Amino acid sequence: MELSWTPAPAADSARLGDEGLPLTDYLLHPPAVPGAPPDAGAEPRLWSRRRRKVRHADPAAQRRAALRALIDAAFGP
Amino acid sequence: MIAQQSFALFDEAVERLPALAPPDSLVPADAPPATHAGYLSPQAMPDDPAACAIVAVIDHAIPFAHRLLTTASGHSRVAAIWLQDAPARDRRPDIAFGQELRGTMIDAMRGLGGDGQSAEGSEAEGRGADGRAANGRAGEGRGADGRGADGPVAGGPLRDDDAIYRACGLMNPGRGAGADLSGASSHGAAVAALAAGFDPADPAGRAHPVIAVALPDFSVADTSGSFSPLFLQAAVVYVVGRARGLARSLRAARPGVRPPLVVNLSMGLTAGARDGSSLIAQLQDAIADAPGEDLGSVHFVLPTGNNRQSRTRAVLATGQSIGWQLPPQDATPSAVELWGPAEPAPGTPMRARIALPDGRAGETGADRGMGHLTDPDGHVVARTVLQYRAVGAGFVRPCLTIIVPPTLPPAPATPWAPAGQWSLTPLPGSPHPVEVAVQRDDAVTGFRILGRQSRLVDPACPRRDASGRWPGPDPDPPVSPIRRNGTSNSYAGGLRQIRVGASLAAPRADGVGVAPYAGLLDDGRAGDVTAPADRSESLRGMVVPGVRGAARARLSGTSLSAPQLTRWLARALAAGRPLPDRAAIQAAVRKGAGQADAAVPDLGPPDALPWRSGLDG
Repeated sequence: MELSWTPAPAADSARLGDEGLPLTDYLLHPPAVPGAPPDAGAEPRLWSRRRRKVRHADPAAQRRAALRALIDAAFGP
Repeated sequence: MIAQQSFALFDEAVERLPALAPPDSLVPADAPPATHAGYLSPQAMPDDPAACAIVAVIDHAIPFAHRLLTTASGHSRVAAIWLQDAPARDRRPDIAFGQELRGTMIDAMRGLGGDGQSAEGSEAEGRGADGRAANGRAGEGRGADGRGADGPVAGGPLRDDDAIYRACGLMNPGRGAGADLSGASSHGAAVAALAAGFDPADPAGRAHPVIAVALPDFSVADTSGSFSPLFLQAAVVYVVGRARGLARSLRAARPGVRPPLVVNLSMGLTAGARDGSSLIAQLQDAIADAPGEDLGSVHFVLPTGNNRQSRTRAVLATGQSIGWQLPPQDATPSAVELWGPAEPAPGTPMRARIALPDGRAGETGADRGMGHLTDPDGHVVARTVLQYRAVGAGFVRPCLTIIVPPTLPPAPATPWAPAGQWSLTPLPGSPHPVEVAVQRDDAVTGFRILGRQSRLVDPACPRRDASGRWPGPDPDPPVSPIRRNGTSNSYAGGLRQIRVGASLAAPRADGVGVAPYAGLLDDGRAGDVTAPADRSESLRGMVVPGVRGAARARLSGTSLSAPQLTRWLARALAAGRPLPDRAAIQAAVRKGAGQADAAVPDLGPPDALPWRSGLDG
């Protein structure tokens, strides 16, 4: 037994709850490597910074509102 | 409500979409509001709205301008499509990212339709007090995206498919994404054509308006389902919403019409609960149970998956261990789930001993939530997550997910894990039997494979049978913890979904007619229904349309079987046959195929396809 198991901080567990998707969460929050710079692997970046220079996008709240509107369109009166 | 629950679950992904999605697929703050556009041009409306069935296709790289999705006049039968990672061009109140096109817009981009007058406008834009939408005009006041003042507009010269895709930003190699329609073939091209492709001259096509969702590259680039649930759930909700809108426009022509809807989702997942408790299965079951007053019956058709021989499932009794082989040079994380049986809440903790290939080992704790298995230097060799998934009122299933970093670290200073055979042993006191499920991250057609696949290892489970063939269902009793029964697609665990397996058009001499790769349900059946996706065991695949024109490709897999049932079902529903559920559909296929005694009826090679499928002759 040379490996030790430790529970993660409560905030990390709370992020997932009982229904969260562990693999998705892992990709969004990969574990840190001892001695690595703090931002190494901190965020999945599918698009290079250069490609990310685009017009100012809607805030996340707007995206959430659109998804709610989509639900209304599907299941509303 | 399940849809809201799903979106709440993916809230962080929605928040962090700018890091995941192509930047130009996010709606910019200065995006102009979308102009009203109707679903279908009059030339593409069903002859008899009372005898039509809407077909929905949720897939990737769907060539929505393909001739097989048009009428004789060239008008689009695609009533609406959500291109989830296409450049956002305008603002719609219910489109959070990407681009939506309506049939009249596609016609306008092609240069068809005269004034582009449609029968109805958008249900989200300009609905009147009487519930009937205002008429919309396509081609008016559009932007430089090909739908505008200097782009293709109604009445201009006819444009081919590629010009339309370019206008939508879908054939831009410099963009780095969404260039999938530049390829000769795609998963979505094959699936859409099989589900709803008709010769333009065939009037039967107009009885099947199409609603589609093209999933983003990054959600289907690997099939681990890491990011896909958000987009799949949104796609299902979109399909239902637009089908309702289309139904209203059909009612304007024929009052009282409630068209049925058949949704094809040829996507799959190897891990996860197959008990119907996943939000994806729950949402589809809920919609099929109560489709609402605008729609007739709604069916979701899914493949059983292609992983019978992948050694991704095992069942462990108390004290048993299983090997877990992690291949070298795997640039993606590997994951395995240990599921306990359903039990009254709060449930018993699932704990496991995890041993590395070099013999070092550790035991997971009983704490709910996340934990890390680390070596003495503090390197995380595995992340564990213990959850109690609700499976019914007062009942839960404990699930321990073990995620191991890539064996090929993608960059310096990122976690990695040793390749080789790991060992997993549920600890005493854990609920049992333990169902082990490995998550695969294959790539669908058109993608470079990044991940190599982990698998379970047990010496008592040979890969081939004594004759050298791929084995069929598990023997009774099973001889190994590794199972072939229960290898079906986890997305298809619902009670109402129609699960379609792949058969061989020419069965083996010994009578075996199921494709050797097709996933099996828990009871060993190849699905509710099968449909051929291979000529024979030695001549794999069938001929399917490519992305454009008369291009063809030879593809295989249960992804191609599902849309054959979708096609059959849409035709049957349009003809007025009452097929309310899985059992009725099975009975109807049995009767049609003359297979009264078949446990799993087979559709047989599709007839009347507008191309030669290569399955017979």
